[in-house]
Amino acid sequence: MSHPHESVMGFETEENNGGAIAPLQDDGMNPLQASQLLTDEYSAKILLATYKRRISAQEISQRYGIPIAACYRKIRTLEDAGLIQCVDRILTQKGKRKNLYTSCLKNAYIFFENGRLRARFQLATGAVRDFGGDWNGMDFLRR
Amino acid sequence: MQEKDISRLLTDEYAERILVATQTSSRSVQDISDRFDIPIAACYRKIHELEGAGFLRCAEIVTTPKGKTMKLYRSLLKSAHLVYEDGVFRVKFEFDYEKDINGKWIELNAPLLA
Repeated sequence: MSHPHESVMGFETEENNGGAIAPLQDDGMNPLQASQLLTDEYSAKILLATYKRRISAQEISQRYGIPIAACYRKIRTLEDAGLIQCVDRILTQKGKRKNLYTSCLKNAYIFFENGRLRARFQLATGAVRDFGGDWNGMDFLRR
Repeated sequence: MQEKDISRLLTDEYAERILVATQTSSRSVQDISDRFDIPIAACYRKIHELEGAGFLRCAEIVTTPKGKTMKLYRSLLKSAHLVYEDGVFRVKFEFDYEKDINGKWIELNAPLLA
């Protein structure tokens, strides 16, 4: 039986949690891909740039020194992953439409322990997304 | 090497596979490359990078039946934690040997935005 959340590397052996209520799992990403959303330099900068702020791609690019094409690409990736969202489309003085983005990520945890990588994202909406298996018993995260 | 570079190295696909591969046993570059499906040149490059950053060490040098010497590598990283809370990135590493950053939370926002 193929498991949709199995890591592409095949390192993970995900245990069946016996019908317990599992947090929402993202079907497209393994824990490595999920963690790269945070450890990639540009992505991390974009997450900080959009934290409690509404900001355009152009402005992020200029302020944080990210090449504009890469900036649009990373924004798209983060938007697809649900970590940032477009909150407004404003009209510039030149009559162009400009998307404003804001971060939806509240907390994120990426743990590498005993040779295993796990990631947990907590979104502003309260939704939790886990990658790479079991986070049960990690009560200190639910402060 | 800066901490943000270390955490990126950790989530590099090949680097992560190499660290997992060498967690419980010492392995040769060839063995890692074959078993974990990493192109051999990239495997050598990443292993040297990880060795330079203090993540791996050569644990043993063995001689193959053909008379070639082969280095076996072992991971020195016990755990790594990257946390993002309320707009702040922090990392913490735990190595198998005395290292000044062991168990210390290091804030990444300032170096990241520098």
